[in-house]
Amino acid sequence: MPQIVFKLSADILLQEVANEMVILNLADGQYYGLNEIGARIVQLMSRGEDISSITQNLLGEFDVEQSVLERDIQDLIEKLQQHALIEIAG
Amino acid sequence: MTRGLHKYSVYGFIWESDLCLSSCLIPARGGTDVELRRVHKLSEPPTNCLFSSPLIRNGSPLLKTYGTSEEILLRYPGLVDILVTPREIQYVPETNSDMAFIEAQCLGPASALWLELNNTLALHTSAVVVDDAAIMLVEHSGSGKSTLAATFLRHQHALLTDDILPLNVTPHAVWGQPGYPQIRLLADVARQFISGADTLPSTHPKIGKKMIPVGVSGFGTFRDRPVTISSVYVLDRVADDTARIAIQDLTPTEGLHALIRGSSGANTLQALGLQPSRLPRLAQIVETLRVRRLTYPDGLHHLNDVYDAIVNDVDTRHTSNWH
Repeated sequence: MPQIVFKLSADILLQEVANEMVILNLADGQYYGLNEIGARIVQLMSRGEDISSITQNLLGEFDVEQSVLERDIQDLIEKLQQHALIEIAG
Repeated sequence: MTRGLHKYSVYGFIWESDLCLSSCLIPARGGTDVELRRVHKLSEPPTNCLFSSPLIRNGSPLLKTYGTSEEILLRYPGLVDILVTPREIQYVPETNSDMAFIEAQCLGPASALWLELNNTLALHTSAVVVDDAAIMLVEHSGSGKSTLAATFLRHQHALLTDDILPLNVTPHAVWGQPGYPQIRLLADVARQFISGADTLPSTHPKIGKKMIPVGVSGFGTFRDRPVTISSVYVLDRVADDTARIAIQDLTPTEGLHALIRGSSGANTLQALGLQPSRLPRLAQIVETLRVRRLTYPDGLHHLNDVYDAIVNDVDTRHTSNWH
């Protein structure tokens, strides 16, 4: 998982709002909200960063334990995949 | 002015229409921004269906929407076809159609789409003026927006709109354009606010709301000029009569969701592919205004307390701005 790079699905649109983010799935019109950390994860994903790099970035930006952060990232990835909002790049 | 046509100021634009609108619209002069007129037949209306209303009337959806990003057809089977383009709105009534219904649809959903085609955000909301700015009351139809707005009118606040609110977003402020001087209430609610409500026309002969004129010789007062918006209240009316009135901040994403839901014809806008260009402006509104959830118990006897809670909340905003 750490070296895996995810990319955003072609049909989604990101809208940042006051440090948070809304994802619009253009394919089905559904909207999803992300808090500040979730928004930052997706933002880094959209730049092509792998999971390891995203984790290191966030450890430097937020006051959070690595184990908690890694679990949160894993949970978010599962949810994003479940709703077809991201896919493995390459 | 062309013979038989009337000019009105609605939503910050000048409308020219052959509809003798019953809403006491404000007469206007000057260049026409949009024409609203009756035609006998639409020439080549769009045929690709974008949206069908879940509401059923005589076995058919109450509304079916067809179109492209250049023209949209609102078809109310058995009642009226309304074609919206960036320059005009045409309507073709069925025989014996109720003109109040046609007027309500032209001033409401059709106007909202016309505004959106002309790059103006149009939210389906009620808005009233409190102190020096307007507050927006947002949620789906039937959530109590109009009833709460009527309560504000009874307390001497002016109505900005009770249907569509066009918004102009600037770097530091959000401006709301006036709608038209009318408030719409279900008959049993209207009787609580005005006398003679039963004699007023309805938006629909059977299921509609009473169309109550606001302003001169009507109920309350109307704000006929643009005003800045201070706050958005997302209504959460609960059936529990003992529920406490509460006002809480929404998270930015919750606020953005509420504005997306509150957009007039949200499904049609989505199908037309207009949402992506609207999202940055809606996000800017959330970042500029206070977006709050108002939870309150159902029942007309609670309305004065709900009114007090909102006014106090607006006062708190003023106080906090000074510290």
